[in-house]
Amino acid sequence: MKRRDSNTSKNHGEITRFFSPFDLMIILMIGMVTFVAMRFVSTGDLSRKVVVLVDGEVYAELPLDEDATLTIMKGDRYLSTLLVDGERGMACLTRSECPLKICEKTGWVGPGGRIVCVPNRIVVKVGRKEAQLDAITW
Amino acid sequence: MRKKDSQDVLRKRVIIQSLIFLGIVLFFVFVALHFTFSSGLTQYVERNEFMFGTIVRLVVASEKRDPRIIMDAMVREMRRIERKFNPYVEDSIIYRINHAGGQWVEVDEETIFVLKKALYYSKKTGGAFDPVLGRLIVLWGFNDINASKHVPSDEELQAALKQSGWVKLEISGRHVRVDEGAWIDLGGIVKGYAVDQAVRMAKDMDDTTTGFVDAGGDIGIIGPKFGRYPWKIGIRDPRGGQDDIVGVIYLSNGAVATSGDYERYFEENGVRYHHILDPKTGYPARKAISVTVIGEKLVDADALSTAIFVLGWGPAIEGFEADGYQVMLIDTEGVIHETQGFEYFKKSR
Repeated sequence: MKRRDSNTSKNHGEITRFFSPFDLMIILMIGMVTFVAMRFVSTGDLSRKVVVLVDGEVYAELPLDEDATLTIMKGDRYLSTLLVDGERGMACLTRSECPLKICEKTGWVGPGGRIVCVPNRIVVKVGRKEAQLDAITW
Repeated sequence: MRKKDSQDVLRKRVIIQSLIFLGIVLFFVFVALHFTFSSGLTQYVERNEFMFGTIVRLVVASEKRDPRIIMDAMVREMRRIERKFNPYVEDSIIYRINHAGGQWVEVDEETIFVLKKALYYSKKTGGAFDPVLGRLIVLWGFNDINASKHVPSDEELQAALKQSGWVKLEISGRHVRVDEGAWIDLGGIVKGYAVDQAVRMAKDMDDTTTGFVDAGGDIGIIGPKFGRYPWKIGIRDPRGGQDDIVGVIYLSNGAVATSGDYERYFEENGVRYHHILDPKTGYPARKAISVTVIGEKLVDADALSTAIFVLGWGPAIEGFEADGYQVMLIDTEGVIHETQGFEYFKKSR
């Protein structure tokens, strides 16, 4: 035990010989800034968006953290209505013009989720979440 | 003299301190760049298309060619197959066979391959997989997502059952016939075949292509993620929401298909009527609520997941496992059954 204590104190001495507490603080701050910047760059703001695709084309992009109601149309034809609950960070489709209403039955979907309305060719992609699945078999 | 020594020590200290400081900063910058852009070397492009009455998602990356060109070819191939084998489109090969009044029709090798594959699974599963259920499918309204759906009367069901059954389909060389009035519907197998063909096409165009094709939850793997890692695939909870899962599997290659009673259904008097019909009764099969099959090719996994959904959990499953397929079945009580080898795919390697 004694020996370990002596080594620890020796190492501590070597570090403080070259770096003052202020230097160590600067290094720590650079590390933290790099970490935060890295996360921001790698995920961007995709985690907070709702993307609506109609016929495979982007129809609208909405922030996930603000309440919103979007009427989805194809030309003059009404297809469905998208609701975004900013507080819960979730979205759903309602009042859809399709026979089985499977998209409505999907209910509220959170980050990483998807709502699909096959008859109207609508895909709603809700943000992104950490460690998400690549796909779901269903 | 003493002052000079002290200045030398101080200078050395500053130089060493600066070098170490610079080294640490460079280290952080390197780590940041590595983690930000290393995965970006392989850029996956995603595309969504509506085919086979469902959404088809393609996720593709390639080192030698533009992934969008590869995806264009894959989508064209899948659309070709969808049209060719759609029994309800007048210029399709299946429509021609169905409306030939029981006469022999000469077809191409691809059609023979798909029909033989369908008959193989009909025989192997004792008719649980049946490619001649067109009359029943139309009667229930499951042939078209926009068709009105209702529970048929017993008389209607018996009439449709008389015009159904795989034994009404015959193949001889390059010729095919089906009994007059019976309709072939390859919905339980052709989507899997189309995905397999798209996967093969992607690899033919560039052997470095990786990614997957997800056709309404039936997934064919082109190659491992970033060329190294397995794809993480959730298995949907049949009684949960669209995002709820009962487990995760990891696939670097091969395919997985799931048949569930939640995919296409309608409710009448509080009863759920789904699209997977029991060829013996004509009613929706009631021995499972979800079946997942992992295999080498999606065409096989697709056909087996439908057949096992009809059969339920039983001794036949052992035979499928011996042939190299792994099965997970959730029965009507919500109990999960798995073949022994299924566990292998639950671990990331």
